[in-house]
Amino acid sequence: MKDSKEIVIKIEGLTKKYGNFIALRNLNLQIFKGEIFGFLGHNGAGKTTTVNILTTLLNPTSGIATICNFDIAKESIEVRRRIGYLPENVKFYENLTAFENLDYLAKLSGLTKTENKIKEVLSFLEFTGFENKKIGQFSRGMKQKIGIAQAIIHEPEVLFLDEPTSGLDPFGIKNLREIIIKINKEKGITIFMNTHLLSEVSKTCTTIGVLNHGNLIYKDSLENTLKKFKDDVSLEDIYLNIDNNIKNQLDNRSII
Amino acid sequence: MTSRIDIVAKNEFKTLFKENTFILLLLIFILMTIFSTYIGWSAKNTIINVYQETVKDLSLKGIKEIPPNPFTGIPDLSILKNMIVYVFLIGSLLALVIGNNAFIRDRRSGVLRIIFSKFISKQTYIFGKIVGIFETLLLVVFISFLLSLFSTVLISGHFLTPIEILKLSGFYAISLVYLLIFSMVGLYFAIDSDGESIALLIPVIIWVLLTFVMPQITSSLAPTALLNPNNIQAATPHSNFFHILQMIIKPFSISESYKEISSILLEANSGINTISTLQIKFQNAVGLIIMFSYLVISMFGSIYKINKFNSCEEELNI
Amino acid sequence: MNPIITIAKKEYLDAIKNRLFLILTLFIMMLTVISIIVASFDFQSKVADYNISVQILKSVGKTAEIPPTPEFYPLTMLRGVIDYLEIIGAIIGIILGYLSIAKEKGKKTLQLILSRPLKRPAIISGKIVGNSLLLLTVLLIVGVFIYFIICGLGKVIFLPVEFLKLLFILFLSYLYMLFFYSLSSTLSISIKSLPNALIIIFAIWLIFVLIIPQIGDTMDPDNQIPGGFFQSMHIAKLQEKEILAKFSTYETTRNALEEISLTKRYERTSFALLGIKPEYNGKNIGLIFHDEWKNISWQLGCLIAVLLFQYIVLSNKNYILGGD
Repeated sequence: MKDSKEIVIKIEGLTKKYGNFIALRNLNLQIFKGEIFGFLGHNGAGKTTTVNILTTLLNPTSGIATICNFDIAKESIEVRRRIGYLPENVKFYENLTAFENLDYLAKLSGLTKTENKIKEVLSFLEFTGFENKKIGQFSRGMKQKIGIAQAIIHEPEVLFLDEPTSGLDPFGIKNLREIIIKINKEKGITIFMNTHLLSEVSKTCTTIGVLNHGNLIYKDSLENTLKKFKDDVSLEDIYLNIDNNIKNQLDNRSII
Repeated sequence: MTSRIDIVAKNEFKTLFKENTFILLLLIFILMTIFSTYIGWSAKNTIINVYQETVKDLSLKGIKEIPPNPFTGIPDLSILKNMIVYVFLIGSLLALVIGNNAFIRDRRSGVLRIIFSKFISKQTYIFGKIVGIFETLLLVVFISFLLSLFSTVLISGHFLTPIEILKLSGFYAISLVYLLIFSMVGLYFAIDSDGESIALLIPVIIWVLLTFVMPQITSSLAPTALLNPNNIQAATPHSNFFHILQMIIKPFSISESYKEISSILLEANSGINTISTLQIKFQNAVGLIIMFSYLVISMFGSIYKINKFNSCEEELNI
Repeated sequence: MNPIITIAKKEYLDAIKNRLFLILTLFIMMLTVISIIVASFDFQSKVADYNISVQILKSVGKTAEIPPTPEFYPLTMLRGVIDYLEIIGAIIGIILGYLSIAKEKGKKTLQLILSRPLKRPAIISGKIVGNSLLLLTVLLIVGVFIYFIICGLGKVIFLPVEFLKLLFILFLSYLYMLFFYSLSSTLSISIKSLPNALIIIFAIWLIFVLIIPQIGDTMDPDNQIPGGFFQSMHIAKLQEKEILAKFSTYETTRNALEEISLTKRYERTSFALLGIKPEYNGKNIGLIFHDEWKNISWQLGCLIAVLLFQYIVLSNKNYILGGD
């Protein structure tokens, strides 16, 4: 089944060093079209570094990655035409209205006739009536909606979300989950999401990967994971189990 | 038991010396202190030689009425006159940054809510900051004083007399007061402004007004000409416009008061004085009183502002 | 719409809504007015002094010794304006450059722009174009004020050549301010901490705009006495050069120090065009450019170098991510 699916993100031997510090070690990963991939890991594991490299904001030290068969290093503009990105804790231009923010970013994505597109995307996200308010007056949840809006307005193939639930209340988290699922189902956008919230991963993601000190120590579908670790009560237990296995297997450096 | 003021002051002092930008500005100031003695000595020797060459040249051309040497008996201390410029130019900016950063740092890092949730009043906190700033500037001025003393002795080849050392100390004491004024202005706007850049920029604009604009209005000297220590005692144009402006504005121009008092202390007044010694003494006394008033006003301004400051406000803008 | 134009338009609109920029613009306008007024009163007092000395000379029968009448060259009223453009104009450039990057870095909108299908040079060019237009706006306002005060209030008519000289000075001022804009935005992106970046930029401004020119001026033998040492000795310009030729090492060192400073070079060309030194008064523009070609080339060279550096740095992805 997986073999017939198109690979949208392909990572081979991706490494990133900052001086002597190795943020990412020889990462190998494939994400298929239509997946919602949850990327888990402790603070400082290298998740944001991975996203920064895939969104062409950072150069890897070595290794190759392609998005929709375009090389991130050699064909970065083509890559950026096909991705949407929402970084963690974006504040936007607080003195501009939501419309003005979206208009500016949509134009930079190469769109013309942005007014209709903005109305369309806000309607899709069920977030109308706030276009002419300054973003500085928005709550965290409202800013996240604008964040999602700017990331999907140009109909990307892949959407990168870095800790999208950070700072949101339970209603905001639920709302965001529904939006992510809706984007994936109705628009067919593949989603790559960095997150800590294991409860959300279990409700949203189709595939998960676990990063530990720059090493990918686990990757499988959520379904298989729950079957494999059927003795563990929750995804948190599974995650801690995987993490502990690695600590015990440090000498062998085996990948599950 | 250490008072809370001391705790805040010590922390301020310690934190400053861990900041790369403060160290950079301090190094620039110290380097210029050392350099100023050399520049003063080099310029003095060169101009004496230039005068002698000029006299030779005029004599060869048969000119009998040769103007007297305006550089006879230049006092040793006057080779430090460039320090006057470096204090009001670099020193005041350094002080401004120190004062500004003292509060902006805490605002930026978000620790103010934590500090004010401890058993310390806002006034105590700001007093502690003021004491910390004072101790830092005192150290900076003291280092500069020692460097000036040693470099003068090294270059002139002999020790300064006790009177000269006293005058040099007086110069640095007045410099400390001048620097404190700008540090308090920096501190005030750090509390008052809602953006980091504007918190630094408004004091810089005030600095430009005090350093260049007010002196330009009262002396007609162009801004860059004001940076030449030889122009401190330059004659003002004979014009009612300037005389009226001098009367109204000059007492409040602290940079001019500072420069004039400093040039007297460093025996650097080489200009043409058209006003009496008594008038000079009176003007300088008034200037000194106004300088102290500026210091007191800016200090109490910060204390007043901190009481109004809301530590639960949104984070600092760019 | 072309992304360069989109970005440029946003930069322009952001700045004119920004309090900082408005304060600085108002400030430079105020300083322009003050400088010209002070200069005109200064000239008035020189004329008054001249009339008094003529009366005295006539009264003692020394009419042969009456010096020539002080000549009025309207452009010489702008010396203070140039001084303020050196100081505040540089600050305007610095603040624009800093804010151009700081607002994006601080709010993480830089990542949003960079993840768009745009080439880095296009993003940089958009920012440069937008901020260039801002600098030109400021200088246009300064130019209008100059014209209004000197020609409107002062009832002086600029000759076509004076008008042309003024335009060249404003153009040189634009290049000067653009240099500081580029330097500031490059340092703001490459230094991790934004507050540190601002202080370092101001330290550079202090050294090259104020300290180095001040050292050069202080070391100048002619500046050791208010009013000029050689004038007090009644030494003509040619003689002055002959005397100073005997101190070539000192003068070469002093001159070399001044020439490191872009500000000093900008000042020399501007003063030559303004006719601050009498030998340039009434001189043909072509001849002034001939004399000043080194200073003009240096200014252009520095600007090109810093712009290239800006493109290189901002295209380097390792500099982009960071900030507090």
